[in-house]
Amino acid sequence: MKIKALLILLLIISACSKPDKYDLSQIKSLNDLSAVIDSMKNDNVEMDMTSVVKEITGKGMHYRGVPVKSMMVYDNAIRIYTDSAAYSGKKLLEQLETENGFGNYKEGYNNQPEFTWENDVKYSLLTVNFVDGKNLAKMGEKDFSTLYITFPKKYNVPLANIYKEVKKYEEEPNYLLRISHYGCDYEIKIDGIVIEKFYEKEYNKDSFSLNHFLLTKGSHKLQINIKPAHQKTRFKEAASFEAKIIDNSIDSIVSQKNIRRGHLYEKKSRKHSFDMTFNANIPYNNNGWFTGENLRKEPKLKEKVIHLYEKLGKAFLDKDEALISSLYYDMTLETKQSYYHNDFKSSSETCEELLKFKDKMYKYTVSKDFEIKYSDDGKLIYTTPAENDKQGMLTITGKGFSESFNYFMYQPKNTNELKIIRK
Amino acid sequence: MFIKADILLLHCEIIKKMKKSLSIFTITLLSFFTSEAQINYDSLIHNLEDVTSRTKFKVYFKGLKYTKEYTYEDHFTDERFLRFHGVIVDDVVFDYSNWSNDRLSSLSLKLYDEVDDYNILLKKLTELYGDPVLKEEETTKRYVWSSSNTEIIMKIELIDGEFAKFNEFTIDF
Repeated sequence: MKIKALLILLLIISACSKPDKYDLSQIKSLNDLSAVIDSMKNDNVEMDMTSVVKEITGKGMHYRGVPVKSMMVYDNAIRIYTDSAAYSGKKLLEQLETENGFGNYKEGYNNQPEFTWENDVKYSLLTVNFVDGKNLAKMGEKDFSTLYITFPKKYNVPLANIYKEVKKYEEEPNYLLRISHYGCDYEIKIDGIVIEKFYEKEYNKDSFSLNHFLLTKGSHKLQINIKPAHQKTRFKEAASFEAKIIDNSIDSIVSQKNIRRGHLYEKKSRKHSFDMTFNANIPYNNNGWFTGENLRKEPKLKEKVIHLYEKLGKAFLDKDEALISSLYYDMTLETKQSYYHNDFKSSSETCEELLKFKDKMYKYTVSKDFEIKYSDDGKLIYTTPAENDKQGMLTITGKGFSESFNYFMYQPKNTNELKIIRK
Repeated sequence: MFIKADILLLHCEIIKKMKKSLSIFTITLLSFFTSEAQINYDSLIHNLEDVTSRTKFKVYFKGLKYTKEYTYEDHFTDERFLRFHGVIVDDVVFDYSNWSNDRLSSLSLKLYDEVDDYNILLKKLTELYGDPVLKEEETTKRYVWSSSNTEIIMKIELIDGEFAKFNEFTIDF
């Protein structure tokens, strides 16, 4: 009798291994997905693999215990549908929040709630579909959810892992310069570096991120040089200029300067400059060009600039991912640190953005005739091609596209080559 | 013979049921041992009647996700965590009167257009603050409750003299 009971129990356990066998939350890559589908095929799970988008409707799928009715399989993504029963819509949302923390929430198409989560393994988008529920606080038994999971492409270069190096802080100041003016051309300099020049705009409102030009905590000087728009010799009567430095993380004005309408006209001057000194409370330390050589004394600077852009162009043409990664590494790391971007997606997208060109290009050109502009201390340079303003220092060309590149460069002390450090 | 077949069928049914229960049990057991602690949603509900002019949005909703859409305003839109005197709130906007966000000037609540919610709020606010100042027009009713530090404004739209929807619900500090 005991043996019989034991046999029945074994039978039950072996039989019960089939229902709810496939936990789709365990799929963390396209390889995992292929393995699960192969396993389903072996178990004769009902599926239609004849279309471009494959559909699996057989029993046995769940997401962390929430039964899954069907799964669509795309090239690098899956879409999962829960049953319209047993509060499965609510349960899937709660399981995803337990798995990944609270997602970003917004109302999507047709006012359906949408939640997103992103990590280095998958990007998940959950859409809640109300059937008998009214809202997220009053979800119904028949409400269901659809979960779209994308598996991001993995890059095997250090640039793709930069997010692991970026530090997060309790307070993350984000300094912005907001300009609004009428009838002015202007140039913005920060700590002696010209970062932007704007001409030929009658009326303008603009916003500039400053963090990536702020290397360390402490006092920084912003200088704004204004001229009459359209190369006129005198400001218009209505000319005005307003500059605000704000810490966008707490919506706080750090410094403000306002030149009222009429003032520039009344002064009868051909140009006007003003400084704004502000204290940046940034928690990070970027090396940037701090230890760079004074490039004003560098006799072969022009050759070095050409050499750097040639090296970059050749790296793209040779599809040399390791070299591309190394040329962009410092700039990318410091820029991401400046804005506290420590998420996988951001690093992955930067990689994608840079590496996509190498597969499509067939030639590159480097400008040989250019003007070199120095920061006040001579450590940082920016070059502007003389022959054609529309071209960058490096232009890569492929079928149906042309892309230009231009960067701030410096030369680390005791080295002989320039490095890309900002754009 | 028939009796034996019946018993066999009964066994099959029992086994099927046991399989299902055991399957759920297995998943629950696995979840218990392998997964993170479940979120206690009830403990995360924020009762907006507790907000004062000194409430800081980011501190108040710490740990939850929120969005920021305008310079002076902070939004929180997940209705699972918002209540006002027990009524579900769809969306709340914290409006600050200055750049440093140290003084809240008003809260704007977006409510669901439920007549029960309207009745609950009318009753509760009248209990707390006394009879409101009422301005009634053909298609709208506007209630204002005042206390020493707040003014609550509830405006509703009417169809045939009956509640149709909320038009405005703000708390000014």
